[in-house]
Amino acid sequence: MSALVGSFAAEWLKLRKRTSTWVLGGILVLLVLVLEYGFALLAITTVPKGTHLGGGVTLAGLREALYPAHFTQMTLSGFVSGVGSAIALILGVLLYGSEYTWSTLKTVFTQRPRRSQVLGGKLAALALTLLIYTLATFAATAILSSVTQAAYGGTSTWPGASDIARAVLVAWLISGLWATLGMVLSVLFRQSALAIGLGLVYAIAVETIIFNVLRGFSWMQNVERGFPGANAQALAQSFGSAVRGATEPAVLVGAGQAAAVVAAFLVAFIVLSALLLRRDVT
Amino acid sequence: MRQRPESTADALSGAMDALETVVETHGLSKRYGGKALAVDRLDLHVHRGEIYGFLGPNGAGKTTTLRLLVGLIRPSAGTATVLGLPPGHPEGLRRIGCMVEEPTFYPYLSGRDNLRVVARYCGLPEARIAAALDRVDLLARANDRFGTYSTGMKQRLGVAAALLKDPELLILDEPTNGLDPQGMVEMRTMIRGLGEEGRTVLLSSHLLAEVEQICHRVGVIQGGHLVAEGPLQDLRGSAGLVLRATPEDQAERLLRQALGPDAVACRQGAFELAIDPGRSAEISSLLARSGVVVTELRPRERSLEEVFLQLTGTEPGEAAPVREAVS
Ligand SMILES: Nc1ncnc2c1ncn2[C@@H]1O[C@H](COP(=O)(O)OP(=O)(O)O)[C@@H](O)[C@H]1O
Ligand SMILES: [Mg+2]
Repeated sequence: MSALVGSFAAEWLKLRKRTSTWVLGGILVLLVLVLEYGFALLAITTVPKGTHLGGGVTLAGLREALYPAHFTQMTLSGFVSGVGSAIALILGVLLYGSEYTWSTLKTVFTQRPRRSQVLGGKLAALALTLLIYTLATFAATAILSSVTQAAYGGTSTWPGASDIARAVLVAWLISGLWATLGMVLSVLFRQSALAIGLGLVYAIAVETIIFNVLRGFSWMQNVERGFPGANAQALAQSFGSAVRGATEPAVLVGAGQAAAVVAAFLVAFIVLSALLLRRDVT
Repeated sequence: MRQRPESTADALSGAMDALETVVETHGLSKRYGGKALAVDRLDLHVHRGEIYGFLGPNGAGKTTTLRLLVGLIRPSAGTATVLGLPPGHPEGLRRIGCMVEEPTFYPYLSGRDNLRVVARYCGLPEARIAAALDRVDLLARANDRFGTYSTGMKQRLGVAAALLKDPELLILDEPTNGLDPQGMVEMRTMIRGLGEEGRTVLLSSHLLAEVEQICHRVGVIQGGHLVAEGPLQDLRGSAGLVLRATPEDQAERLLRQALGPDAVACRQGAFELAIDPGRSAEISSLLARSGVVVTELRPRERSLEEVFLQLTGTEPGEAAPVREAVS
């Protein structure tokens, strides 16, 4: 067994047996269902018929968004909202942050694998966990959307298999972006708390709130093009809006460019982690 | 697990191995951040098959040295070779079992699962785990979470993890720290047993008695400097002769005359002679010629504590056993 495979096997055992891994995944699925479907269902069932919801959205349009035809867009929207980024970020922080908290890094680094091989094993285990999260979320939204459709008796079709696969890959990539950001922060600060705190401040306060405020300025578009969260958003929006009639947001960059920028940040976070992990372990 | 050599050929190769240096450092130094040197130009030599005692008071630089040897930290200067490889080399690490400071594992995993994690990192069959747990007497609690273990159990799991690799070299950093007296005795017995299996053990300690009980050779570290290194007997040396004779007053007069008054001290009915122990025959015949009967004549061994005091000019760790005061 090569050191890299052994390292992955060890990391997977640690992640698999950790309660927080599955709690985080469960919260992700639940929050995406509630935020993307729950509130819309609430609006549809409680708001009087014929009410205009603003932005050209009608109740009928909102209801159709909940049908299987749009479940990929709905799920992706969940992944680029604060929920998906926060959960992925926390999982990424735990990867190394807990090792610092428990001083277990010295145990890990004195077994056999090189530090880079430990990192490789951890990334593989992280990728597998995030893939499970992503698939579970898409499965949950698929089920809920088909149930919704059945309840309203409407006719709807499913997106094509390649569209679904592309959406899953994009969600996986975006969660990988936030998870590796969490990882590099935890390695930088050698702890979890500060890494989670600052990571969330960045993902939510900086990329979401501040950017939304500044979006009125024309120069903001050029600035945003260089940021990971904005590109993740653009990548998700390239699948189009789920709600018929809703005003489409201005396109920041094309899907290809957005995916490239997100991937570049992800790789940069990994390289930076590898460099920081060369530091002394005491 | 490794067996003791049985055949003559094995014994011979064992004898040749004894000359082999398993750990060697040259001018090894470490400075943490901008602080003073924690380890200063250390030249350490650990031979194959021995239990090497790395003795020094708290803060002397023992842990720092061991961290350097397993590649957890990089030296500021100097080099180290462990099992013929640079510290932290994967091939070296898989042949080393180590416990630097207190053992650390995942609190949410059971003792057994923690060993499974170790086995997976090392690419070892998980079938070895039960034997390792049994060896440290942890089988009964193997399925309990590590977080619920007592200090002694954590320490024993650390040893089990080290033994899982069937290591040639064991690096143990104050493994009896925090143990109760019973646990200390058990740990020392286990370490002695590991040495008897032909493994090389590098044991750090601030306890003189511990090193005296277990180790074949010692290195004494103080303030980051290696102040002495050698076999226990050599280091302890002998600082003269102890003599009992009757009648005492006549013996004392003769001895003072022959050796000078400064070389003779009388304590509790025995004379301590600060001379080369090789002169014992000369002394006994001198006394016999004058009709003095010598009832006891032996070299006076210094305790390691005295050696330590002389080498370092300080008291060893505060937990060192109090010995009879030296005049
Ligand atoms: N991580 C660290 N950062 C800064 N200084 C340290 C660190 N670890 C140890 N030291 C310092 O290095 C010196 C040697 O410490 P250490 O190797 O732990 O000694 P010992 O194990 O013999 O008690 C001490 O002065 C200690 O304060
Ligand atoms: Mg120490």
